[in-house]
Amino acid sequence: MTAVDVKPNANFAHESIRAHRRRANRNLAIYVSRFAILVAILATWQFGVSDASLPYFSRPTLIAGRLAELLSGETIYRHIYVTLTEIVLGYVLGALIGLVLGFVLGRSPFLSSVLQPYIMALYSIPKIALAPVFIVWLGLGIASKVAVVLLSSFFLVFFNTYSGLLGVNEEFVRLARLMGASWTHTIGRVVLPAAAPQIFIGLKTAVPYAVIGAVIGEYIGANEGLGFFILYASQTYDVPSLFSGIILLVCIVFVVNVGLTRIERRFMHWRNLGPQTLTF
Amino acid sequence: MLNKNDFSGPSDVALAFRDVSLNFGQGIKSVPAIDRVNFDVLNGKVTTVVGPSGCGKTTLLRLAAGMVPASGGEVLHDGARVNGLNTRVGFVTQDSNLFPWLTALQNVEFPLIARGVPKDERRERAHRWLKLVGLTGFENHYPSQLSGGMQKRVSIVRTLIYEPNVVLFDEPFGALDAQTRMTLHHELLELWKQKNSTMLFITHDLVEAITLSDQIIIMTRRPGRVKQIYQVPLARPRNVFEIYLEPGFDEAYSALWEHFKSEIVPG
Repeated sequence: MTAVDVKPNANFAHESIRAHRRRANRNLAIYVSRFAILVAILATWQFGVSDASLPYFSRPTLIAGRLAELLSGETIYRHIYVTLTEIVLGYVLGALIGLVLGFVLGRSPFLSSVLQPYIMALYSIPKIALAPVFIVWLGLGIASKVAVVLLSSFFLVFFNTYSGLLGVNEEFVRLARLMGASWTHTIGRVVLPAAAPQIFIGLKTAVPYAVIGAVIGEYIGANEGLGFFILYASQTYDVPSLFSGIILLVCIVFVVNVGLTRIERRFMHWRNLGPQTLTF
Repeated sequence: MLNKNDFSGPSDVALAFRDVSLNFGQGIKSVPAIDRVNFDVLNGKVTTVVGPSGCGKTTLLRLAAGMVPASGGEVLHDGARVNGLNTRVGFVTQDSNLFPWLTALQNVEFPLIARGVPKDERRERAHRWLKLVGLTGFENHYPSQLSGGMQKRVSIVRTLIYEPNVVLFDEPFGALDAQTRMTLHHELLELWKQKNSTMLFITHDLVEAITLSDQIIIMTRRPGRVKQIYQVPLARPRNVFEIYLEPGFDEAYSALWEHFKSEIVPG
């Protein structure tokens, strides 16, 4: 009798192993294809650039060499440090203000009506256009870039937090209150988690804008930072350094995004549970 | 033997609706939703409100929970006027409304955390209640991983676990298939018997009303008024799976339908 009971289970397990293998194969194919595209691009670049156009386009091997050289030196770390500081300070401040303001306006229709024209006016100004203003006010140092980064990242976090809060199912709030939850408990345990997916969209999309803010700020007026480094390389026709700077910027965005995705997964594992709905 | 119900003094009344009216909108545009409603919800009994859609049944529950203030009259809970959110009632909504970011266990624990029950005790209670509805083994599942019937069970347990004085049900079983609904009727009556709870149940399904209730309030079309209060003559315990065979069912159904049909058949 036990044998009869076990058999369908064994089949089922077999089936799931097969499905697992199929999925693994597909993932492998995706990674191989991605890598192939990268190789193709690099090869075209490496062998497609003529000696005459070399000063303009450089070559992957030359850039890799320059990058290694830079990373074994000291000055580049100072540039990375400055840009990272601007990004982190500006982003954290901008995100915090965006979160708080989005939260307050999301829960207060009155305040959001009052402030709406001002926020829209500020939003409609290209943040880059304000960079020269900040340089006049705050000087060529870090502070003016922090201000640009702050403003660039603020809006995305603010709008997403705000709309996340408006999207919270009011029935959840009423039920939580009826079940005896205090306002702080309701905000922390119901409103925030309910709005979290949208808030994280804001936090993640703001990262590249923060980086853009820092770099553009440095383009406009600075004496250190990766943006300054790239601009200087461009003005001296040092193309390998130019590309090295850009690669370092991409790395920064990548690392920050991986970090944020980790945090997001921790908070929102409930959203990626997969289709295993039970039916009975 | 005397039926306690026949001598219902004030202490037997959990919720009392006294001339309760509610208007939607203000001034000239004001539309009456319910109009001078009077009835009592008795302690330890199941009272059901039936009525055509749009007659303000759900509004009655919202009034009892203090989610909306009455335009006229008052709702008394144990003799005290309901004024502001009434946290002594439990509310089981039409949709399960489980928090999707919490597991079944965490959902059920939510009201206990909110009410400051110590961790060990609330763990133990949550496990015990989930077991009562056959959800042992699903404690760590998220709502999206549960079937509709299971979600409904968690939703009911989440409300019953803190033993509210009166439990309000807003057509909770409407979206379920017939078999699941019968099973849940059975489980609900078992819980009711064990916990001796007081329930106010809203439905538009006469069979469901007969299956569950001691007393049925029949409402008119909008503006909702109490048309008739009907005492269900069926003995308990009832076999919910074959409720049609219970003695008195046919008579109860005919009597209810007689009142009900004029409210849903136009003209």
